[in-house]
Amino acid sequence: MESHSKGGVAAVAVVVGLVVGGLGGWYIADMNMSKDMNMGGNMSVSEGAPNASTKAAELRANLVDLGVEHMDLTYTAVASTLAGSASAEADGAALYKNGTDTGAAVGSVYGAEAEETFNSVWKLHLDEFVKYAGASAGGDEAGKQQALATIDSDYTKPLAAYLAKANPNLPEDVLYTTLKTHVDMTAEMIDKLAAGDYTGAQDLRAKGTDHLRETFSTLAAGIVKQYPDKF
Amino acid sequence: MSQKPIIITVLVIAIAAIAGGAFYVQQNETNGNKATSNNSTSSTTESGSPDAVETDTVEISNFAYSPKVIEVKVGTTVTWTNKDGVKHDVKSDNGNTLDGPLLAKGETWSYTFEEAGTFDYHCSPHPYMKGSVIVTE
Repeated sequence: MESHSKGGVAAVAVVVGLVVGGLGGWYIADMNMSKDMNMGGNMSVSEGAPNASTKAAELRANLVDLGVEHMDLTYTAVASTLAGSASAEADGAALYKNGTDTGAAVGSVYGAEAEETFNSVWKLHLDEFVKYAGASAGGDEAGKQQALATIDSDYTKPLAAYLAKANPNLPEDVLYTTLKTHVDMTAEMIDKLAAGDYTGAQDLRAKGTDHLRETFSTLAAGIVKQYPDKF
Repeated sequence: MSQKPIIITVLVIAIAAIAGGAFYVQQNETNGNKATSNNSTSSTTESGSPDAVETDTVEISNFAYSPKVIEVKVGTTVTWTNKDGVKHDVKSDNGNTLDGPLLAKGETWSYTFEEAGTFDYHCSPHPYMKGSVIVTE
């Protein structure tokens, strides 16, 4: 009996030791990982960062999440619409909500009027892309070009001008080419989906996501630079 | 009551703790190294850029120049072909050496390299797209 209890105590001691050691090792590994984390671009978060750079990191993370989500939701909404899927309406609604969430993020910095303007042009580009997708599926080249022209005149150019005016750190010509790249990539992705080239569409989805990640990261950096006291 | 069992128990816990912790940290480092080495599957030139492909044709597809980096001899004519529905072009990053027009789907543009050097270029409506031509004697 006595030898059994000694053996049991020893076993418990070993288990407790391994658990404690494992937790300690996890803590050390986690601390090392945090030191290596880089938030991308010229912005980085270091250990023990003050509140100001935490707010900047939060802004960037929020905007980048919205951008990444936008590309994913666009892909899903277009794919389900072209497939006549039962989820098409819900997928479209999710995409539109992402737009108003992005507008809210813009509004949190630039105010209610900015949010309203952003939402208005953002919705327009989504509506035009719905037309574009339909034209692409129907082989209507003229319809596609018309949708792209409307997006360019009523979304890309005015949004680039608006953001450049709101923030002097964001040059209008750079904003324009950036937004145009997003539009053109999305159009190409839609064409691939309409043609049943899912490999190509996924490739463009990934590239479009990377591009928006970079775009929203730059936008966040421009805002932080504009309002150093807030961030 | 003998202190021996208590001391032995504490020692066993301490040894197990050290062993367990060291094992966990080592496993993490090993996994980290594996992840790093797995990501480094493509070989690179000494300058750190992707390996150059010896070819005189570049396909523009899915918003990328493929191959991204090519190597040719002086006097070679390189031809770019756009496979995307969106129009792309080929423009030098510095200077006007490469100054091609916007290409619709299926259209091509060619340029003959008469001098050695590295010619970096991009797509003017989509500067995100980049490529390079290394010209050797």
